[in-house]
Amino acid sequence: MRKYQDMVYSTAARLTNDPAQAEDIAQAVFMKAYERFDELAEAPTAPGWLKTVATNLSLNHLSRYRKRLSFIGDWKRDEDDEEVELGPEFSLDESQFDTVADDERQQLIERALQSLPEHQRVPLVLFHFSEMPYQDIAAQLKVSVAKVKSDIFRARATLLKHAAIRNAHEH
Amino acid sequence: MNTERPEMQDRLERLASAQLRQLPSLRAPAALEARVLAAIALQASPWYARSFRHWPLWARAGFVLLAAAVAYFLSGESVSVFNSAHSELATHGGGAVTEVSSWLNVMRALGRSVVSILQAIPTNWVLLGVAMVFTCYATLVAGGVFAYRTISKV
Repeated sequence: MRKYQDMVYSTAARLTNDPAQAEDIAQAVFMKAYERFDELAEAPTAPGWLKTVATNLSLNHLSRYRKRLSFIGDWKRDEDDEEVELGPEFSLDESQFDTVADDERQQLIERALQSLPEHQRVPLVLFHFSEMPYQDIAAQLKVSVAKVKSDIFRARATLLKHAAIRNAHEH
Repeated sequence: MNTERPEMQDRLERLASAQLRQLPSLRAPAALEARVLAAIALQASPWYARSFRHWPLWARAGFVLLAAAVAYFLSGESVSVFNSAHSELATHGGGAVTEVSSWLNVMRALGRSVVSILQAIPTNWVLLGVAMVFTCYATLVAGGVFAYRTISKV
């Protein structure tokens, strides 16, 4: 468990953006793994299984949370007409973060990731961290592939813009 | 800056992938392992030592049937059966049996009282009570929604 707990927790925390909920989900994942201990103990697929279960439980949680909020009437599905403007602080220069120490750059990106709206963060995390193809993400989130591509594109732009702005402000 | 151009998208994907790939896993809380071990220990305990929700289906069904049988017995519907059994016990039984039968008498009287009280409540009162409970619940939900929307806007 010690070997995989960070990976499982990270998956849930990045998808839900809620540390307490991520801890609950990580516990549920390891409980399910315990029930199938004989199958998973020596299986090379165990890390993948754990990640998939963590992803599915996180998406289930988000789906339930969305239903509750839509019942309250305070949840906007997404902003289809939003336009991402990268602005003057940002350039697509791959060396723009080179002046920042590794751990500091990681913190910038992690914070920028947390600040993304859910409809951008979730497909981005599924694509980059869970390595899901666009079609699977679209099926999981019950949206079109074009929408997933558009949300991921906007998420990347917003993520890098936020990181660049934070970087510019902090240095 | 227009971000919709294909070459811009490719560069954006490359840059984002490079940055995200370097992110290490977040550190799980120190308490997670203890929580999981405690949950596993609870799961390993016998079913009757856990909450009703975790009982096996047959035990839950058995409990419900038993409870229904007790309720039926106490409701006085089984008075005739009980009376014949009671006479039999009184004729042939000793002191212990008499004690048990007097305890059963008390339970039967209690059950009859509860049933007669429930039957004495007018239907209108029951409907009024249900309506009041529903109104209180709806008010509570509306209050919760109002509080959530007010707080979330701050």
